[in-house]
Amino acid sequence: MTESPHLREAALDWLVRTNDPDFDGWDEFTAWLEASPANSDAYHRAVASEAELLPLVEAIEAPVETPAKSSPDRRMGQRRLAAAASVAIFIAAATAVVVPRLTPVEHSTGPGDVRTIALGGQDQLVMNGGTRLALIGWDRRTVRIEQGQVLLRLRDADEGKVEVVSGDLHLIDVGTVFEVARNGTDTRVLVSEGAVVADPAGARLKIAAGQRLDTEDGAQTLKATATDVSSVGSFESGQLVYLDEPLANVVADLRRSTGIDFSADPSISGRRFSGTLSIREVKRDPQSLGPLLGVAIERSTQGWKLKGKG
Amino acid sequence: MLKHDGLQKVFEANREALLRYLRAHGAGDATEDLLQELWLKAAGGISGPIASPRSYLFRAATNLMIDRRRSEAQQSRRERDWSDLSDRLPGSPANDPGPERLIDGRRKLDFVAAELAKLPPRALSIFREHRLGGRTQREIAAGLGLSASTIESDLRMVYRLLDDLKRRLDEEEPARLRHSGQETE
Repeated sequence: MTESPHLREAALDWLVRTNDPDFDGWDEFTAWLEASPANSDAYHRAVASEAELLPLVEAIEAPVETPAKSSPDRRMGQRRLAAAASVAIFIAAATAVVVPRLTPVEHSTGPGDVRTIALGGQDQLVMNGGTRLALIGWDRRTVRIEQGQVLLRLRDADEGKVEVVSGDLHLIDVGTVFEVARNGTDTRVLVSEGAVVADPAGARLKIAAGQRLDTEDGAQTLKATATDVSSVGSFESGQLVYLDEPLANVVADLRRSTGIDFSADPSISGRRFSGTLSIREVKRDPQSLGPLLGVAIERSTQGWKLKGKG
Repeated sequence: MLKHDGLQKVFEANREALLRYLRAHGAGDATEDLLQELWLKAAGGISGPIASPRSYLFRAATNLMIDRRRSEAQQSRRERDWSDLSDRLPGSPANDPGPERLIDGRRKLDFVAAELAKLPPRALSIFREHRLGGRTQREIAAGLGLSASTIESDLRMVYRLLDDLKRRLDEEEPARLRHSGQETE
């Protein structure tokens, strides 16, 4: 509060620089901080100001024309609701107008089947085994995933955008290749090319190539993280590629891809796995998974159960 | 796992630099403990290959210190609020959160919206792209055909305004408390 204007400007300069994801002048920054404890106080003051007001900036629609009328928290809730409601209205209205064309087209694959569906133009949707989905909307370019895993290869600039709906999560493509998996109420999105916008009516989170989003229905915040994308769509080629993936996801993928009922003991489902699995090998010899994943595997009544090594 | 080994090497090689960095942020006696916490967070937070492991570690150290200083500030604010409250008698008008007592969420949002509207629209949209959209300054500069220094000065303008607004909001609250305190006398 008592800092000099000069010190505040210096702190703001450092905030501008260090907030850039590309920043790498850490030694120079250390030297500035070390010069006086007042420097780090000024920096953290500016950081705190931004941190406190950023949610308000986010809540105020751009461009800033009409100041928002409700408190930020309520407003966020309303936007999330608004997103779901507008889609519901869209579907309802569309159904009323041209009923025959608009019945959702449903597709499902049995365990272990992989099927490709044309979405118009050169755009393709590849379904992994054990997947159920519906194509909805007047041009059938809205994909509602009930369960399972899909790869979208959207290269046709002349066709409209594709929207994917997984539970309460909405995704819009920005010319792209990406994969969406839905398991129960959890959704995982991996983007290997282009970008995807999640929750376009609310959070507007951009998931860029090389990033992933893990979320579940009802989640209040969405956060993209960096990931290895060599695994995107790997189910199509009979390989599953992972880098530091929770075992629960690996097991769900294996169930879909092999049609074999694998399950993991809760005590190990949080463990992480990095490596490549061949779907054919796992089908031929399920027990080979044990050493590959570093777990014990035993036959259960339905299929195979993975456990910690006792 | 290979990735962790790689990161651990970078961590070990930068151990001294990271200790200095934490200390420079005011880590004090807790510096060594914070370095340990930093490693656990940094190693646990990986979900893919890291382009620049050294920057990743310093970034994680920065976030750690921001969290720490924020919780210290909250702690001292709570203590101050508590002593303000306990000075007053129960049932006094000062304890009644009347309509003008504190700036409520809505007024605060309207106030911030009105102030942001005074900014040049370009500066605000660059700020949003950068801080909410996660785009780097270089990407934004390339996209808009502007120089890096123009982007920097636009961003500085927004940060400065946010800091001004925060100070004004902070000043209003104690002023109101003092005001209602006088009324009870």
